[in-house]
Amino acid sequence: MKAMIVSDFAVLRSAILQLLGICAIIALFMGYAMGTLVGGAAAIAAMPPFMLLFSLAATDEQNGWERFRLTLPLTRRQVVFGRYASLALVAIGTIVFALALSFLLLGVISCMPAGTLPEGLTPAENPPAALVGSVVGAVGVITLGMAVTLPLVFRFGMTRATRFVPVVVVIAIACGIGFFDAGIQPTGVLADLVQWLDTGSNYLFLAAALVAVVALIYVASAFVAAKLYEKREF
Amino acid sequence: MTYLMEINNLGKRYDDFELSGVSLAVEPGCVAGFIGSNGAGKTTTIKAALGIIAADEGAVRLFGQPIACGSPELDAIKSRIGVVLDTCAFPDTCRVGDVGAIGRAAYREWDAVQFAALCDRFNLAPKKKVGELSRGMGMKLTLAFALSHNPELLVLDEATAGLDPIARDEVLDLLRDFMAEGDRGILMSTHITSDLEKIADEVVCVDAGRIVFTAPKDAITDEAGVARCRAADVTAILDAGFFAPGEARILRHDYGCDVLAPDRFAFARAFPDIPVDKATIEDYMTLILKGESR
Repeated sequence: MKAMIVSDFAVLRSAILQLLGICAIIALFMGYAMGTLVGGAAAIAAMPPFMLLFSLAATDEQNGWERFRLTLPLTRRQVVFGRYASLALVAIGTIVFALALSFLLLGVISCMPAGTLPEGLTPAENPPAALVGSVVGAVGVITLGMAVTLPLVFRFGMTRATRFVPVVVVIAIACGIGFFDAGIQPTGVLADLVQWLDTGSNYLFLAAALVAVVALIYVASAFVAAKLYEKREF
Repeated sequence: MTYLMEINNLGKRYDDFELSGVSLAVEPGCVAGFIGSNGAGKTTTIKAALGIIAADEGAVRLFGQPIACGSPELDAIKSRIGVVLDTCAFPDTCRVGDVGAIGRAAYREWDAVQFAALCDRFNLAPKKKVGELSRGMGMKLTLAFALSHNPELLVLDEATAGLDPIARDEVLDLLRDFMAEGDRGILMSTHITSDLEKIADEVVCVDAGRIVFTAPKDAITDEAGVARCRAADVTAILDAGFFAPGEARILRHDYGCDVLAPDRFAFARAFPDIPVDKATIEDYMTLILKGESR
């Protein structure tokens, strides 16, 4: 599995460096345009994991790398779990980077004279709990997306999987719209819970709960992908 | 004897192609050349032998152990095999140094000093990206990778294709060095049969998914010959009963006929007026595959 992670990060190194720069620029522009750092932080947190997933999947299909990799002393399960571990590390790194960048910007903004920037960018409007919640939330949603995408990529390869992923996403969105349009609203204890979570001070709890749920789904997805990859031929 | 690789009656079916009854073995100390036309089944055989695809029938043993696609035994055994496929498979964005890091992470027996020495010998700078390497340099990198974990068996699939003659000779020198330890072996699939004349001990030919012949290389290049005949000579040879029925291989062309003589010395004694050249592996393969059987 270590070999898989080493090879994944060797592949990603240049892409990661480029992405860090792009993310920093996007955070600045989106933060200014949206008038809030929380939104900018969420935006940059959502980008890297999914983009790097597709970079890795595309690289697998170049030069027969995926086939050659199976001649190394790696089991197919190690290949799958290694890829999931690489992307989990990317997700964690993204959270760290997005938060570090957000707090750095917040520090710079707080040193600037009042009135220079929109009020929505001030530390008072961007409490740490909200920043953490937005970053972890964005990475959590994207990790869910990866949990859906990766088994398809392992089973069909990147080229064919890209035909299926939009179908799955559209179905999920359609189901979501259907669910909420039906007017189903949380009631009773669930409504109280939603209201409690919706208060700013409880974003951290929400983020922690989201991480736990997403992690469970991600691990389950890894086992599904490993099963699908067992029978794949090259 | 425990073979390094032993394939028995291997079969694999696709919609448009069937590999059937393929058997070959690589003995310790032996270089087995694996030849055949494009799409004959060489790569399919190699992929099945390495467990990249599952065979539909037959058995593969590596170092005496039966293996199957995805079996735990195979994954342990793979560390004893060096593989060079027909392209440099490492991702374009990796640097030469990264390839060494992948080897170090993948193989317990990884020899970083050996890898650095081979890269140095091949002028592969550690900072160079794989995508910037020419095809030949890429193949050298793959070979350096394959040789740096002390494998006992090398499996080469068109490893010298695309290399210039000097680079091919360098690679062959390296393979000879590898074979200097007598218990190692190589399975070398190639279209460049002249490489096999320099290094192989045995030649296995596959065509349309079936083994056509297996012969010691010396039996082809030292004993066999190609008789350059006129049409009348062919009739005389066939009438003389030199060949058992169905065993003569004749290739007719505009200016005469070539007849495969499995023992060119015996042929020369029997037909002293007909010139007989030494056969090359290519001649032998062409006459066997395309020659008219009489």
